[in-house]
Amino acid sequence: MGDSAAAVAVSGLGCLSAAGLNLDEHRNALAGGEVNCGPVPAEIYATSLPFPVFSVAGDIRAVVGGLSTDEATMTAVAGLSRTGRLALAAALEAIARAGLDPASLRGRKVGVCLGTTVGCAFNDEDYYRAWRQGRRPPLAPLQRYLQGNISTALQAILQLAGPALVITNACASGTDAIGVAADWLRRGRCELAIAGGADALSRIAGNGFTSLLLTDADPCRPFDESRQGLNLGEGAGVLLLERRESATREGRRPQGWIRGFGTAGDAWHPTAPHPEGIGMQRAIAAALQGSSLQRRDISLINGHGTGTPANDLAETTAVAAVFGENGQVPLVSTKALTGHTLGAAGAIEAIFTLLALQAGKTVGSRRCRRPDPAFHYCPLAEDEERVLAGPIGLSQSLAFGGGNSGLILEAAS
Amino acid sequence: MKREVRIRAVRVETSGADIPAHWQRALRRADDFSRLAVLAGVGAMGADAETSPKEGRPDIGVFLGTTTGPLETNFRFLDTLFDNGEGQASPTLFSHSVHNAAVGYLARLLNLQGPALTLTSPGWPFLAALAEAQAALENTELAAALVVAAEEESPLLIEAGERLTVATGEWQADGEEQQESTACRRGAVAWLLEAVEPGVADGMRLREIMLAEQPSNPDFYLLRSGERFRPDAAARPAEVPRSLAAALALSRALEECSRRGEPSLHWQASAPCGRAEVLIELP
Repeated sequence: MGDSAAAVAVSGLGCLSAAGLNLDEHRNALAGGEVNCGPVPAEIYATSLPFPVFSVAGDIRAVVGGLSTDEATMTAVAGLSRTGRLALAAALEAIARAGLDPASLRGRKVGVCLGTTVGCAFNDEDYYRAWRQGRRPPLAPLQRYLQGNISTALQAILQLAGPALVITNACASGTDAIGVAADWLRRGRCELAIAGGADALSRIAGNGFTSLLLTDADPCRPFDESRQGLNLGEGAGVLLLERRESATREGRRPQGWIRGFGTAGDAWHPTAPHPEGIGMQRAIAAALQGSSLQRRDISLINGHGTGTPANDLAETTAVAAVFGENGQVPLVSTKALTGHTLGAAGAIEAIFTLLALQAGKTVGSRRCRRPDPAFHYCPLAEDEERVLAGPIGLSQSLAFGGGNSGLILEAAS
Repeated sequence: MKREVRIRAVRVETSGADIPAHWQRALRRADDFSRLAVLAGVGAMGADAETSPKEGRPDIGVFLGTTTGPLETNFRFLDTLFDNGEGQASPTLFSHSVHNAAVGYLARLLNLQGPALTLTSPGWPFLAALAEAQAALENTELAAALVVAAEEESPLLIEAGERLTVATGEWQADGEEQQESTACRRGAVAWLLEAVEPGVADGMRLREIMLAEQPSNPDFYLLRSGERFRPDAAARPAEVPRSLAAALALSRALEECSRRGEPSLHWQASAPCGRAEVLIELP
């Protein structure tokens, strides 16, 4: 998994989140644009919980409609879950940005590897409530769920012939899906890959994270000494990947490269990271080893940075162990722009990493006014800005179950 | 040179399996989905020690495939949400409703610190997990991989399946009262794979996995009608989830081939969700 003999081209990018409905809006948000964090919109679900969220503003179907004129696609969108719609919209944007027409992919060996958490659970509350009361509710919601595996659904809508898998590694799912898809390409399992992650806001996840006392009643403050927890978010990030020779042959100019991927487990606790981030340390080492890069080649670290006390402490401890306590590589978190989008987080953050690498600079984590002095590695504060030393960066993810993943990306010159 | 993949052990566990006394404390909060996955995984690893190994194994990975994950645990979490109200749902049930909770247990109990991948696919997730593990063993420095299929056919799914089985005309219509509840069907299959240098002669070799899946009608995912395996060594017991059939059939076919002393197994699966072939050489 950590081995990557050849860089894989990133030929297209697509994303939706509270930070915007497309890549350009995410670029603007990264540069300082306003992002709303507030109550859960009533059209998504009703809740009495006081915790703010980062929701996608706007009609996702309209976003899909703006990217596809295909009647069958628009019909299929109606049957998709919110997570599925987010994934489809991001995939269509990535395909468009690669200069491809979705129709040209039909029947081709195009893989779909997406991460999700909420998107793979049967959370139809009305169905389950009726069923547990002894009734037999109409089967349509269950059938939609069984047909709604987001990778298989995209495979069906886009009529693709390659492999399709959903990675359910909790909050590292999006990162791992990109790593797996890159491996498929290297092994020749597909000629193109739609890789990333998607997750919609859900009352179930909202209550779950609240029950674990992990949510903040105010907008999250990753890496700040006053941080209290995370805010949930929703979104999707998709990278259209292909082998270098494929991009060259087709005359596509890559936006960047997947240089390495590594993953390792803490073997520690069901929901908390190892305090020293030992799994994260090994994941970074595996990603570096597989890419034949040295840690000095890394110019930016986009951390998982959820804003929970335990995550941010473990993650900075791991970064200090790999890059040194006085390391100069800027460490930032973009969770204050999107909230924690769970299975989408790793993919959206890979895209943010590439955008920053393309710009050649980064700003500190929003709302990180005073980095926690207890950290062994000092993240960049909100009012700081750095010119990056090079085009290569690292995007990190940590997950329930003790999963840790690192993805090394390079901006195309 | 690409390494070869040896199948070291195969283990099957189904509903009703007993948890060894020395694992009961470690699994006291675990749901049945994770327990069965752990039992199968621990069995395949031959890890019968009473305590977890002190030394971590970063060179062993865990790959788990599932169709719906711990669905019943998800419903138990919903029960606490409905019964107790918002903000009062169970944190333990929530953390176990995540699909990779079982892999987390396996990694912790066996101190496996390598890659951990949980794959969710409505067709043949065990075969997908097997293919990912094989690639990791052949192409990286991973020494071994525990590959697990874990499935849970919730009574909600079983009841829905009964409604779809309309041939007898005795089914109840939507909206009517249910008759009697059915027990949840659960099962897990685990294979321990090892990387070996080419030319080492002993043991079974996992040579090739061909997997071509395609989207299918949702009713197939519920009923698995039209799913065929060749050879199909044994019928699926009633307590085993339908979605575990492929993993079970392949494992049984391998055992049968091994028992008969056959030189190889060329196992095939076909269904509305696609087709698959697995080629294994036996010693």
